[in-house]
Amino acid sequence: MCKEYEQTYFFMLLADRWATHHDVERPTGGGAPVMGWAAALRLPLPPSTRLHQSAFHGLIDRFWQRLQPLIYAAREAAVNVLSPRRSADGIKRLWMGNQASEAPTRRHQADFGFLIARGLLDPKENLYFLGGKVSAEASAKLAERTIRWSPENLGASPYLSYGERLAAFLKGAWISVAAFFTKRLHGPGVSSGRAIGAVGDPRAQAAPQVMPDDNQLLLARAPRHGRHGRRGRAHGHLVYQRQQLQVRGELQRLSRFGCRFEHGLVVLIVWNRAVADLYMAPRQVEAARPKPLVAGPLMCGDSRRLSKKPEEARREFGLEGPSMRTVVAFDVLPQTRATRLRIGMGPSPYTPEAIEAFYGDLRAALDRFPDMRLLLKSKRTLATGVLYIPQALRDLTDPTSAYVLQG
Amino acid sequence: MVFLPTDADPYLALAMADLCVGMPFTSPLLAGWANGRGGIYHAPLRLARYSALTELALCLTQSREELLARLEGWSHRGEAPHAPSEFIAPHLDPAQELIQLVL
Repeated sequence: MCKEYEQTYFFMLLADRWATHHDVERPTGGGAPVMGWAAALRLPLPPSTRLHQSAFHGLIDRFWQRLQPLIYAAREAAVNVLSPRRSADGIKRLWMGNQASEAPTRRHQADFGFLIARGLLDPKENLYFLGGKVSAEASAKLAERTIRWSPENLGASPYLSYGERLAAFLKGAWISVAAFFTKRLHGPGVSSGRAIGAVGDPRAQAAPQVMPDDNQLLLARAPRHGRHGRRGRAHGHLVYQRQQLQVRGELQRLSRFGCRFEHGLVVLIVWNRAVADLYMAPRQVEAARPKPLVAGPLMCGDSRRLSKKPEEARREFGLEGPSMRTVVAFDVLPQTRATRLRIGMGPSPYTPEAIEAFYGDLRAALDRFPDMRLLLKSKRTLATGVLYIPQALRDLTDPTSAYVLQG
Repeated sequence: MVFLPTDADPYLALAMADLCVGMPFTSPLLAGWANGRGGIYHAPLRLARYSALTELALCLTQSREELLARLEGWSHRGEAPHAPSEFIAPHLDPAQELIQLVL
């Protein structure tokens, strides 16, 4: 209790002084030892003050703080070095997936499944990095579709020779040890041991790399004759993102795979001009400004369907009724609070209150306009219990409701 | 009211639409606008009120009354809301475009 009280007291004092005194030094991170905070504050403690947490405690704390990432890095490096070798023959691009549940093993052609279905992509030329636990069933389905995949935490390691892995390990170890002692390089991309993957596979780098996720917002292609031009390597990176603010995090994620994303970037492929402006705005130096190309949104599906007229598409689907104007609603169902807490996620901007109001307003629109037909295309299945299902949506989809019975 | 399977092709839903309504900044509407469908971003709790794009008001409703008024205009006068040009992509088949650009 004394320790917590001291920590809180000094933290509040520091926060207070931080706002008004520019000469206050920044302590080392949120878990800084109390003596470090006192020193940062340049606090004249009276000689009679007896702190529960001594300077020795602080030293141990600081040592442990830095040791933890080193231990983690060592564990990751061991896994990377010792994993069985696989053949990289025929791999032309790397494709970064999101999680096992979104692998293209199902009917809705998630991730790059829609490109395979259209014959635009040969799965055997892809190396698919997949995060999370992949079930035996999912693994079998991936094999059935001839999709070559690798666990994300291994990076490109299984496709390197053991000598290359050792070289990468030494490089990663050097960076991690340097981070331990200097604290300047301390960061997840460096000290987590993913540096072992930062070397990448030269054979895979010999062709454009593609790294999408399930939702895409920003795509990018790096130069063929940039930093790696001397070695004749080409880099191409593709980032799919759902929120503009998450792009930065995705770039960090890419860095684990050896992608020097922003340096030397020459082409930026985006969904729309607004996203390009968002990305380019802080880059005032001409050399840091890639050429934006607007390609349009790319969802998992066949965009050629949009070449049909609405009446024609409805007729093919079996929706008749020429006098009905058709409104299609697309939602984003938020996760339940229990789900968020379980996986450590913060609240979504698409709150339960927002989705409740969204569907409530659509129901009001149906009541107001009897000649309007509503098609609901929910983004996620309603049956998992993982997502918050608003009452208005339950009412609309209830098989006994007047809305459903009217068709 | 028809509830499409959640794993249905989103382009199928878009193709059947005279008008789309979506939560702010979701992708299907971008594809819809690029292909001549009308669309409204509906943010009933005013989620999108701080956008830098002032023209966003063309395709944004922030209350039930605004949504109903916009639907009224579309239903009776054929005023399908469209997005600012910054939101509209030039390519009708982005998958094909992507293959040519990157793959």
